[in-house]
Parts: sequence; structure tokens; C-alpha cells
Amino acid sequence: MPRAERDSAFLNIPYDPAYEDHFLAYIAGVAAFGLDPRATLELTSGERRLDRIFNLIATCRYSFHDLSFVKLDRKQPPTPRFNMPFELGLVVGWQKAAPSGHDWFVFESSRHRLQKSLSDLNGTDPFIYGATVDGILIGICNALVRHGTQPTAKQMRKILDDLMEDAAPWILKRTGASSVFEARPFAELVVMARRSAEKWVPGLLRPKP
Amino acid sequence: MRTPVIVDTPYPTVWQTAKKMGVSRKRTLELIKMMDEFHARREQKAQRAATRKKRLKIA
Repeated sequence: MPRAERDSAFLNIPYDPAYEDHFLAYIAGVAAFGLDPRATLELTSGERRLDRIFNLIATCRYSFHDLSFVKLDRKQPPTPRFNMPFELGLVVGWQKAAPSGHDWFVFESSRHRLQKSLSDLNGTDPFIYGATVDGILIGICNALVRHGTQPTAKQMRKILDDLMEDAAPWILKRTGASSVFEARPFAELVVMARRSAEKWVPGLLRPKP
Repeated sequence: MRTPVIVDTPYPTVWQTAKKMGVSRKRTLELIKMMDEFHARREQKAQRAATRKKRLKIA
């Protein structure tokens, strides 16, 4: 089992073009807290995918699970994607079996959806973000309320603007990638988000006491 | 290539993040430079907007 990195956060979110801005909001929000966003997009080696996902989750201090996209798609046959609830289940099971100080947070776009889609989690309060990027930033702020550095909503929004308006289009153009949901654009977006966070959130560069 | 200055902070620096994400030092430097350029452009734009607003107020 790999050692958990104190400064990494696993993003369990849908890789769908309609969700691109939300994806950038999670990256910006997590980076604003001095955390490194991690996602299954990074997993490109030949090892069994499930093992790689589990190892990646186990290296993270936090995980964010957005279940708002668990719905039927338009492609035939219409099927919901279960990857996100499955990965959440992996985290919950792992936490129960071997408590490790890992904190997980569930995000949903609308109220009462979780009770209907995943009633086993009744009693867990999801962060309802109203399907907006600002809602995601506020949700991350609330989830990480005990974290050392507390960026303001304005600072988080500035990082997100940097990613949406400048970094993402530039990276896609430079790498020739068709979407940000690919390994290289994701890695480069994370680096640029962290640079932007160092600029807008001065507390992140405070030397160790 | 310029040697990065690593500050010992409670959080990973952008260089440590880049290493974790498998981004080369050369590419990291390029990404950092580009983000700094975006910031500079944005600040210039904000400054110009503020000056314009001030001028309009005076007029």
C-alpha cells in the first residue's frame, strides 16, 4: 500500500465535455488550498486499471466524489456510468477496513438526488453545488474548513479564471489535445493551477514555522 | 536553465507538483513563464480599465 501524501486530493468526477468547466473548478479549488489534484486520467501504465485506481486513491489525503453525472447517456444502449459511485465505494470500504486519516466528500448538483441514487449513503451530507462552478468552489471551501490555509472565494475564482480563460485554451493548442480530459493536458493544467495559486494565495508560499 | 529556488513551505511548490505529475523541468519552466505572462497581461488590462474609469470620472 503506497504512503498517503498529505498534499494530494483525488478527483472522482465525470470526464465529459459538458463537464469541462466543472472539472477546471475542482482543479482550481483544490489547488487554492495548496493541494495537488490527482485523477485517474494520469493512469497510463500497463498495470491492471483497478489496482492503479486504488493505489492512486490510497496516496491521497482527500477525495472529492461528484455524483451529479450518474444518469443515462444518449448513446445506445442508454446506460448510466457507475465509475464514480464505484470509486466512492472503494474509498468508503478502504476507510472502514483500514482507517487511514483519509477524508472523502460527496458533491451533488441538486438536493435529494443522492438519497434516491445512493440511499446507502443516507446520513452523509453531500455538498450541494447547484451545478455552477462557483457552487463547486464554495463546496470545496466548506469541505476543507479545517485545512491550514483558507483562500477567499475571490482568490479561488481568480485561479479558475486563469485556467478557463488562459491556461486551458493555451495548453490544448500547444499539446494538440482535443480535450482537457487527457493525461498530458491534465498534468500541465495542475502545474499551471498551482502556479496561479501561488500568485493569488500568498499564504501558500509562507515558509515552514 | 535557471535553477529553481525551493522554499520550504508546508505545501508543495509548483516544482514539487510538476515532478509528481511527471512534467519535465523544461516544460515546467515554460508553463510557469506562461502563467506569469497571463497574470501580467491581466494586471495591465485591469490597470488600463481603472485609468479609463478615472478619466471618465474627471471628464
